[in-house]
Amino acid sequence: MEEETERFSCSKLLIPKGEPIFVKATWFPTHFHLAVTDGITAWHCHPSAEEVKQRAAQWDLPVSEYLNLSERYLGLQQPGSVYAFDDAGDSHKRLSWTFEKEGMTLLWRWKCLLSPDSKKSNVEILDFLMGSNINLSDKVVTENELFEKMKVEAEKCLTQSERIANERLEFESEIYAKFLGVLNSKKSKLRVLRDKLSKQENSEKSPEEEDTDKTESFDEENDFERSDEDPQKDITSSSKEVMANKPSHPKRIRHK
Amino acid sequence: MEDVTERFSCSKLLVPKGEPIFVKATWFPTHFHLAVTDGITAWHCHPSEEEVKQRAAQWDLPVSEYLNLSERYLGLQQPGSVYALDDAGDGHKRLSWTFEKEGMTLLWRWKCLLSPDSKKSNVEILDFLMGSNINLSDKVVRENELFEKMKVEAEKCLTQSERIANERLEFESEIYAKFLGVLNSKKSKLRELRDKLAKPENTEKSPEEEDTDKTESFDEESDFDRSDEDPQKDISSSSKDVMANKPSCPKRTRRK
Repeated sequence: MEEETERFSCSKLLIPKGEPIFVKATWFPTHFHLAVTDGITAWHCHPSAEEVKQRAAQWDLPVSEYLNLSERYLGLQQPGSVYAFDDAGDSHKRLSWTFEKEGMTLLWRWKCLLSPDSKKSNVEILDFLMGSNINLSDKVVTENELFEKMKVEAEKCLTQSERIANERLEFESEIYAKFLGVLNSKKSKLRVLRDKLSKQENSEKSPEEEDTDKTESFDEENDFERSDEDPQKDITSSSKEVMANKPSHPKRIRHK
Repeated sequence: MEDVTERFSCSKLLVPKGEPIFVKATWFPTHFHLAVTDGITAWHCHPSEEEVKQRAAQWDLPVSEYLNLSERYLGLQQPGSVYALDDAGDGHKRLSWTFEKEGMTLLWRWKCLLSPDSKKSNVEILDFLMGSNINLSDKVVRENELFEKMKVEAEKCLTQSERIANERLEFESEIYAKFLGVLNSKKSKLRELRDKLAKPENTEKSPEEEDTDKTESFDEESDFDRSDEDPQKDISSSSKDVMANKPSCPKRTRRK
């Protein structure tokens, strides 16, 4: 047998010039069931698929649309619609509501038969509401757990972002220090060679004083741009561009 | 008047040798109210604070503990406890359940008076359950919205982490290229000076061939550790340390 999908709804309807009623409905693909109670007496409405088809045809609607419309108006009382629960003889009732369509007022109306056992029907309605409460409570717990889990993920990601940003800063410091070492080594060699060259020149020509290059401290900005250096043809990008790529720290996520 | 906090519960209790009953309770700091229905007939139990105090004293419990215990056993049927709704004459009932304490079976029991208007009482219970359903539905929606919001935050943070990691790689490439430029500049000067030194030596001594230093491509690893370089006293950390600090890219968060 094909698995039938069904939906449930339960609503409280305020009836003008009457007391409230509670309507529990089961919505099937081709028909529906209603259970109605005023708190003491209960009624049922179990039309056949054929009956529903005829009613839908009267409204020029496909069955699915007719059922969706019915569910909307019985699942929650709609403003602008007039609901009624009138006597239909022999303790039966007629449940109705109005629906405006293309300037015309249509009346949705179905007969509800007195339940042979109101107590049993009322218990079923109460049972349904209890079950629905339990399901929804479980759902709240589940959704909350999902939220907390995602929150943990977000915090974890934030922590990682900050760690990466910190590592970036550490790396920059280390790489500059490293480069400073290499640069100073080269400069030392330059000084050694210049000294040798000076000696030779002094032997052959009149002595010429030359300032000694001192070992420099590496300055991230200045050392690359120092004007007293020879043009550096091999430079591929400016240090300003490098610095401009530094990311700002991510803002911490806070949950109120 | 002091703001009184109260809690609500509603449960279905299966009573042996009887039909199910529904118990709606309101828990106040010093007393409680019960509304009971079997689907048709309803009862009320509205003890005074003094009455509750006396019952708690009989069980050697402070009032708050007595109420918590009562709420636990009436808010949800407890396995191992025997529940009953016995006749108490004149249409009234006596609601009870059992409680094991230190090897002794205690009986919680309160008289429930027949409601003067069962229909009204039943409607109130149905109303409460409907309201609870609506509140829980709203809560589910809210929790889901919180989850979706946090999910967006997590995805945003993940994207930012990846961007930062990418920027880190780009920075490394750029800074190495930059260093390469500066380093090559120094090496050019070294070659220049060596050439100058070589010429006069040729004039004075027998010629001595010397390999020309070619401009090197900068290799992140080997250029710092090349064995043919003179010892580099200024190096502050090894390149292995630098490389070891490279972070792995954060794993992407996925939700099933």
